[in-house]
Amino acid sequence: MPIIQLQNVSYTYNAGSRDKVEAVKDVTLQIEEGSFVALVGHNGSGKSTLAKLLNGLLLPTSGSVSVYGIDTKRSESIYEIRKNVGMVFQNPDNQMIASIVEDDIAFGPENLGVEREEIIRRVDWALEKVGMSEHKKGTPFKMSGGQKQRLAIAGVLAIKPRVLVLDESTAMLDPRGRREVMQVAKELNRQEGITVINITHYMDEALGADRLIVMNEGKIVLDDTPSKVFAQHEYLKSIKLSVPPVTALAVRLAEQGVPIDTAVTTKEELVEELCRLL
Amino acid sequence: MSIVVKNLSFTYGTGTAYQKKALDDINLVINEGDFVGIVGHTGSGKSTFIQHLNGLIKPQEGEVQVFDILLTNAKKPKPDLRRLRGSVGMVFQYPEYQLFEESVYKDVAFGPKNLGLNDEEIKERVKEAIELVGLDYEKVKDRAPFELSGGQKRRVAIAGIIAMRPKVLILDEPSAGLDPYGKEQILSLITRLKKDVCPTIVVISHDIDEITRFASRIVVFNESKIAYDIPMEELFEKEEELTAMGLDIPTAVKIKNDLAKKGIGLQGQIVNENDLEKAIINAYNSKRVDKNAIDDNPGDGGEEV
Amino acid sequence: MKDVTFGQYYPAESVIHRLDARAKIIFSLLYMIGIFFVASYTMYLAVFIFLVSVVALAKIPLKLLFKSVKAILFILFFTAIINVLFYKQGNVLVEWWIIRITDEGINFAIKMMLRLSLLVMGTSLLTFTTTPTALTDAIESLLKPLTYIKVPVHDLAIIMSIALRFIPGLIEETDKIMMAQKARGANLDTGNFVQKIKAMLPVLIPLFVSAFRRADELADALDSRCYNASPNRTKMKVLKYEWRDLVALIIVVALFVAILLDKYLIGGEGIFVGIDRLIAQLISGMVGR
Repeated sequence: MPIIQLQNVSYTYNAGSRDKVEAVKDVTLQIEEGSFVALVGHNGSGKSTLAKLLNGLLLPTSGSVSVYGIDTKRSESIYEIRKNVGMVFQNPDNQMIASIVEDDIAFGPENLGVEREEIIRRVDWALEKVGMSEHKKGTPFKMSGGQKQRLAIAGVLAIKPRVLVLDESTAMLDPRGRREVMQVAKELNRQEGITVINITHYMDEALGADRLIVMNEGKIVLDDTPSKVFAQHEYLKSIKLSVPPVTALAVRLAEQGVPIDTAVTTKEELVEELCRLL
Repeated sequence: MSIVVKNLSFTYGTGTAYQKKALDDINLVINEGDFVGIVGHTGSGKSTFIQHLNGLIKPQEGEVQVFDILLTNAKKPKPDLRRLRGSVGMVFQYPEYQLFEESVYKDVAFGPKNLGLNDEEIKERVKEAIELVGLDYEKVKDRAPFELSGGQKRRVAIAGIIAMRPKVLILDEPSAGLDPYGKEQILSLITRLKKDVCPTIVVISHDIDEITRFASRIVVFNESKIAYDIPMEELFEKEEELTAMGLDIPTAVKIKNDLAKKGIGLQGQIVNENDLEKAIINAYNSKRVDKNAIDDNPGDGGEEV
Repeated sequence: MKDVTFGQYYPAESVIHRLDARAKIIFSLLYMIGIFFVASYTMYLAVFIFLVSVVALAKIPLKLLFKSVKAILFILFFTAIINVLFYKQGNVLVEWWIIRITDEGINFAIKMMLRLSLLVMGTSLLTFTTTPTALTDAIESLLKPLTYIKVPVHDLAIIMSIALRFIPGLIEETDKIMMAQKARGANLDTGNFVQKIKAMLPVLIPLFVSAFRRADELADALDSRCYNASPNRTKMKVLKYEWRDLVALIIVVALFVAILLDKYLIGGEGIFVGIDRLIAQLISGMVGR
C-alpha cells in the first residue's frame, strides 16, 4: 500500500471570490513507502501548495489526500497524520520556537505527551542523525543557514515521522548548506527508511532521487526517473526549469557538434565521457 | 581609483559577551571598471565590509575613500553622506523585503527623491530604471509591489537603486532564494548593468560557480581578513586552502583538474563554464584535425567549425 | 540597536545560573519589594554591595550591569528633576516663581534615582543569568494554579517563549531594513516628532510585512510539530528545587529583613547614623551656598 495517496486533488485559494487562484489541479499521485521523491517546478507551479496538502495544513477543495489510508479531512485523526508526515519549511529562522537547541527539538514530543526519558532519548537521537550533537545546549542565533535547517529537520525527526517533506528547505541556503541538508535527507532515507519528498527548484537535488515529479501550472507534467526526465531538456526549459549544470554543459557541447552523451548528470560521468572523446 | 580602503578594522559589541572582531586591518583598492566578486563563508566579515563602502557603518580604525569622499572615525569634517549614497548604490540581500510604497513607481522614486531631485528628473530616472531591469514601465508603474512575483519584486528593488544612478553598484547575494529562471534573469541583468549603466560592480556571493561567470577579480574574506586577492587561475589552484575556509572552487575548474589527472590538458584560462565549454570544443576540434591529418582522410564528418 | 543589553542572557557556568528559575523569579520579586522599603544611604550601599557580590558570583562583567542602567538614564534624570522641582517639604534652599528646591527634595530625588537604578540592575540580573526558556517554564510553573480558573497558562507561556525567541531576529531585521533604506538616501532621524514618525514608515511597513510572513510560516511549523495534539503535554526539563535554592532564599530574606529593620527600627537613618546625616548635610550645604 502506498504511504500517501492523492486522488483527483484540486486546491483553490480564495475559492468563490474574484481573485481565486487554482494552485493545484486534479492531481492523482501515489508515494511508495521508503522512496526518495523529488518534486520540482518553478515558483508558482503549485508545488508548495501540494506539500501543505500532504499533512493536512491545507485540505483539498476537491478530491482526497490520505496517509496510511487515513483521509486528511478526518479532523479527529489530524495529529495521527502529522505525526507520520513531518514537514520542514523554507526559512530556517521561522521554525524554531525555543531559544535553546535541545528545548526546541523536545517541543514536538512534548506536544504529543511522550514520556520524559523517551523525549531525552529522541532529542539525542535526532541531533545525532543531523550531525548537530555538539550544539545541544547552544542557541541558533549565530549558526549558518545549513546548520539551522538541520536543526529544523531534527525538530521534526523527534516526532518520529515516516515521511519527511522538505518544502523548499534549501531555497535560502548557500551551496554548502544545500549539500549538508541533502546529505542528511539521503541518510535518513537510506538508514532509517524514512520516505523523503523533496520539494525544490534545483534540478541537481533530484540526482539520486528514485523518482522525479515535475509540476507546471498546478498539474503534474512529468513523473519518471531523474535521468529520463532530464532527457527532456527542451521541454523543461519551456516550463522555466533547467537541467543539472553538468547536463546543461553536455547539451551545449552536443549542440556545437561534440558527439557527447547528453544523459550525463554528474561531474564524474561528464569527465568519463570527455576522456572517451578527447 | 573608485574606492581605496586602508587599514580598516571593526569590532562589534565591544565590552559585551558577544564581542566580535568583524574586520581586521583590511586594505583594498577597487578601480573603475572592476567587476569584483567577494566570497567568504558566513561571518567572515564581508557584509560588514561592504556596509562601510557607503557610510552605513562608520570606520572605527583606518579609512575608506570613495571618489573624493573620505570616511574616518573623526567627528569632523562630516562626510557628505547624501552624495556618497548617490554614488555608491547598495542592493542588500533579499532587497524585495525593503519595498514599502503602494505603487512600483513610488517605490523606485524613493531614492531619487531623497537625493533632492525635481519631479521631472525623478520621473525620467524612474522610467529608465524600470525599463533597465526588464519590466514594462506602463504595465507595472501603478501596480502594488506586493502583487508581483518574487523575481519581479527583486528587480523593482534593484531599479530603486539604479534610479539613483550610482557610479559603483554593490550587490549582496543578488540571486539568493530565487528559482533558476528568476536567478538567470537577475544574473543577466547584472551583466547588462555593468555594460550599459554602472561601470564598477561589487558582488557578494556564496556560489562560486555563479560569481566566476562574470567577475573579473575575486577577493576572498576569511576570519575578518582578506585571505586572497590574486588572479583567479592562481586562486583556484589553492583548492585545499579554500576548502579549509569553507569555500568551493568552481565546478569548471574541478572538471579541468579531473581531466588533467587523466592526462587531458585543456588550453587557456578556465574559471567558469563558458571557458570550459570553449576549451573542450577547441580540444575536440584540434584532436579531430590531428586525427584527420594522420589518417589523411577528411571524408567522414570533416566540416571544420 | 545592537547595544540593547536589558533582558539578554549572558551564558556562564555559575551557581547563580544554576539556581532554580522559579526561585530566581521569587527572589527578584522579594528584591523589588524590598527596594521600595530601603530608607537610608547606608542601606542603599548595603544593597549595592549585595548586588555586586551576586554579579561576581554569577561571573558577569560589572560593566554589563551598568549598561542596563544606561538604557534608562533619561528616565532617571527626568524623575529626579521632577522630584527636585516639585517636592514641597524641608528647608527651602532656592525659591523662584513656582519652583522651590528643598534639601529634602534633593535627598528624595537622589534616593529615587538610586532606587530605580538598583531595581533595573537587580531585575536584569535575572535575565542575564536565566535562559529565556527556563524563564518561561518557571513562569508557567508558578502560574499553574491559575489553570483552575481557566487561564490558558500554557498558551501564554508558548507565546512568551516565541516572543523571546523572535525579538532578537526582529531587532536584527529592523537594523537591516534601516540600513537598506539609509542606503537609498532615507533620512531617518531628523525633524520633529511627526516628521520622524513619517520618516520611519519605510522601516515600519516592511517590518510589519516581514513579521506577518514569519508568523505565517511559524504557524505552519507549530501545526506540523503537533502543537496542541495532546491534553497531557509532557516536559523534558522538570524544574526541581535544590539545597542551594534554600541557601539563596535565606540570604535574600535576610537582606529583606535588614531593610525593614533599618527603616522601622532605626528610623531610616542608617545603622551608621552619622553617615546619613553627613550626606544630608553635605547636600543642603552645597546647594545652599
